[in-house]
Amino acid sequence: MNIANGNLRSNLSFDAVGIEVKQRTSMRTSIELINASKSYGLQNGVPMRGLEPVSLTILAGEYVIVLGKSGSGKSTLLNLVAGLDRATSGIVHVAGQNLGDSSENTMALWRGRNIGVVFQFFQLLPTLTIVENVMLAMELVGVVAQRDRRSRAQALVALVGIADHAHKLPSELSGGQQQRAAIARAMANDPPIILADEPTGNLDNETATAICDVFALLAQQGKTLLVVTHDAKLAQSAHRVIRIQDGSIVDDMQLPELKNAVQQ
Amino acid sequence: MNMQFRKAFGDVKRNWLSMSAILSVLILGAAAVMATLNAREILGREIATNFSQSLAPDLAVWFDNVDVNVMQKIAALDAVAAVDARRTALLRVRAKDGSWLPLNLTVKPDFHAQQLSVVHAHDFAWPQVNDGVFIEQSGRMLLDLAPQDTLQLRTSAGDTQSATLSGYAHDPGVAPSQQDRLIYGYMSPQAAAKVGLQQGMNQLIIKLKMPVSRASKASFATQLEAFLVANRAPALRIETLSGTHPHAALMMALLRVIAVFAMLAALGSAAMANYLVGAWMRREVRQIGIMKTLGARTGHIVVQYLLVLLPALGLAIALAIPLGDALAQALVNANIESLNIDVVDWHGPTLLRWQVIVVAFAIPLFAMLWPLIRAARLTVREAIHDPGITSSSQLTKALIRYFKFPLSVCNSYALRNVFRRPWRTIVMTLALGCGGALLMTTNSMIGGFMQVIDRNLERQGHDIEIILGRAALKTEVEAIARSVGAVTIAESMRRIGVKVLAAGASADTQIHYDGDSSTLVDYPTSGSAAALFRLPLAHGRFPETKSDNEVLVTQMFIDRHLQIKLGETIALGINNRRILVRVVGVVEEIAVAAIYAPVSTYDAISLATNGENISANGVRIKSNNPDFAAVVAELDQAFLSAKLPPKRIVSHADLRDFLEEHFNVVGDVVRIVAFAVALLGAIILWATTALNIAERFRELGILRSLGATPSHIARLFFVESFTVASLSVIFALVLSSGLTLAIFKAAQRTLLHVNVPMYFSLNGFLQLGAGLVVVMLSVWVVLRWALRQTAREALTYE
Repeated sequence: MNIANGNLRSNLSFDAVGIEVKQRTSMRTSIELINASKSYGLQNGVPMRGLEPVSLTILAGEYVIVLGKSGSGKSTLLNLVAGLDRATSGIVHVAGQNLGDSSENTMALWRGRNIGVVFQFFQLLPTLTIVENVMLAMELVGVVAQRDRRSRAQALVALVGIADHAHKLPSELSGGQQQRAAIARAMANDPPIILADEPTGNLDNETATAICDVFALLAQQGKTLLVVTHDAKLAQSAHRVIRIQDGSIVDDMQLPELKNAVQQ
Repeated sequence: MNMQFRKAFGDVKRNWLSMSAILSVLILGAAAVMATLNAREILGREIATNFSQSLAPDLAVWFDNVDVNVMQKIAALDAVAAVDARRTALLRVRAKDGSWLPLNLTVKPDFHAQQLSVVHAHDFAWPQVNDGVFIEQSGRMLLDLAPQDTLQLRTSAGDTQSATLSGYAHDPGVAPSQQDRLIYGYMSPQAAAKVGLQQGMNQLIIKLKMPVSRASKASFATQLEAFLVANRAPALRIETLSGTHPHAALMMALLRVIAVFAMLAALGSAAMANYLVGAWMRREVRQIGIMKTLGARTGHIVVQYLLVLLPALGLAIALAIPLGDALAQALVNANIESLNIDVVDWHGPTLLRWQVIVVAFAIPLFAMLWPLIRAARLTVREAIHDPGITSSSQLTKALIRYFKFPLSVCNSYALRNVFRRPWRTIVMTLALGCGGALLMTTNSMIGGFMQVIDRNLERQGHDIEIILGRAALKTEVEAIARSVGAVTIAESMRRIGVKVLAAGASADTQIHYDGDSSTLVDYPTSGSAAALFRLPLAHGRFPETKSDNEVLVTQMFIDRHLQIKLGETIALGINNRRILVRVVGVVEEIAVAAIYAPVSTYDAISLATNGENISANGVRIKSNNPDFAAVVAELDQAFLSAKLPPKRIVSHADLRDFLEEHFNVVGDVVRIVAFAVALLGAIILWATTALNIAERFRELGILRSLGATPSHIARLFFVESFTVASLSVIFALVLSSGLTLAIFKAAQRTLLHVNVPMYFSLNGFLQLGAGLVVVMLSVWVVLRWALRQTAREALTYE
């Protein structure tokens, strides 16, 4: 079960891992933005637009890559979908929740249950081991039963191919290994949606490819993936590629054969 | 403008809140250092000046009546610097509230020509003719009378005389009246005659030419004795005096405490400056990376930030100087009364000012340079790619995984974060722990002492002790005491002043005037023991009932005369006679250096001296009325009516108050220091929490993105702070145990002279608990700000 040796594709299966989830969202996962925009403060009396009004629908199980240059608004889009930020106007509907009218507390719990986030710099907590990093995410949300957390965390760590490093601190791992640990953490509460912000931005080519494989497999397992990147290579394995420029969606390519596969 | 200056201005403008905090800390720290060091210098100087102005004598020579010719002959001796005459008497004076206080009265031949033990008139000029009494200024609060009011005096004969309170003078050579509960009064021979005191002077006080050691004083005393015999004017007694202020030890303790204050202020402000600059540098990491990318070297970066910090430090010191002066004067003013000094010069020396400025400049500068240099030495990669999550040191990494909370990763994470910055945790724990330890120790010290005092007084059997002005038949004395309804037991006693001579002395031993006087007191041995004399035996045994030379001594007596051992024979000088007695036992009694003899021994001694074996000049009393003040007033009246005026009446309540007052002089100052240290610790914890939050702000964003609610974050920081505070409390208790034990051992040896068992104050525990709550609340204040930020703000925080 190691990404680097190519066995991952055949082994990555949640059923095989035997994950037992106490409470699981039953709704059909989807992301829907209707004329959603985001502005930050004022510059010379004019609001600075992070994202122009955009409308977007992502179906459950879609693997979507958002491409764009730095400052194009792709991270803003990701923040809106993750509920980390609120739209200035329009509606953001994610996993059955309207994100416009929820409190920070509600949002935090909702996010823990429905969204897994993978960051560019991995952002693992340095004083916890890899397994503990994964377990912390479970403990914060409380979806996974206490008695199952360790075994589930170890299974997830094994799933992403770093079982041998489960009890090491993040600083003892390479960048690629840390990013795999971050993916395991994002999967901790079995969220229907995985969001990733430049997940390969800090990795070498070989490791980046391995991470792409993980995402592809997660998509195969029915997860909705929204990956923000400026790395066009990631798009090769996606169902859909959205290009953003100056805060607006300028291109939305949906591969028919992949779409069919997702619908099936 | 130079670009570096332009950036410095920009930094100040952009970080005005941090800059204001750094400036405030520097101003307060510098002002506190200046205030404490100046106050210490001013108080030290003024204490010395005040005492030197009293011109304290080295010897006191007692006569029936001082012969002026003898006085002139003594003044002409080579070794003598000055001689003065006086008469002293112990009277009682009535305060405004009706209580009678002991009055130590000194008759001075001429207030205008005082040579030694000089009393100063600050608010008035000494009158040419005066028939009133001048009272030492520290007795003003106890008497609560104004100049020109009429004083009621009770003489040793029991008569009540009236005299005018002529004014309040200052005697810098005596302990403050409010602490010793003893009023000092001064009057002219004319006034003394008016209140019926014996005429003429009965003492010569002598100052020797400097320098004078205790041994040289004793040597001169022996020569003087021979000189007086040769001049046919033998002295009744020659006493060598210590030449130090009676409260010198207490004053030194106060000055030491203030010095500790100064050190704490310096360290506290330096630690705060370090933290604040550290927090600022944390936010500047990316900028440092950019500057380094542009070619800036470590030195450039340091200079860049010093362009902001140095002017801030300069400005802080300029503002701190007047503030420090004002605080110093307030601190001096707060201690004037307890020290009974007059301050002439309210300013510290100029050299000290410059030294303090250098200290106030250098310590925070070094403290600020540390985080500055650390930040400036970051590599470009570290700075640019700083993920906003603080990593741990190598040592911490090795140990950290062993800190685990069962069943909770959240709490384990919080626990490990405590040790993420080990030095920071150590500093915090030390600061909080030291403050807590001082607080606990002060409470335990005062509580422990008072418990020992209460237990000891309880064991003594009697509640009130009366010393009479003259002796009377034992049966008569006891009958008078029993005439007061509340008195259940009255046990008369005899007491006499003795001089302690060399140990192992024989009858031929020369009287050695070493100035160590003591009191010999008898106790009845009818039956197995006396009814009220029940002092516990610490060593040895009680004297045989029929013994004629066996005595008991108190532990304090042994501690004062270390050369005297249990079982040894010692020589006592009684009215210029030598008596040999054997010390067979040591008893415990709080702060009393006395010799106790059974009736048979006392009879044997007194038969050889003045034949007072059938009389008593004191009485111990047991009362069934807990209002001792009322019983004392009734006893006073009963003895006065019987023409046996008491010279002194001391109830256990008075003794307890007297001792507590003394403990509180230092105790109060130590308490202030303890609170200051604890406050410093709390500020450091607060600042560290703020710094931790600043350093880990992005980490909080990650936690929020993982589903952590604000209450999760608050719990994390509370567990961290509670762990530090709990470690500090444990450290405080351990340190306090050691300190308390050391203090109790020292008190046992030098202050109370009884066994002082270990004691932990409940008040101290409660104060530690309250401190813990305050610390947690202060952490909450910082957390509130962090929790108000959204997850996105936390994630994008730089």
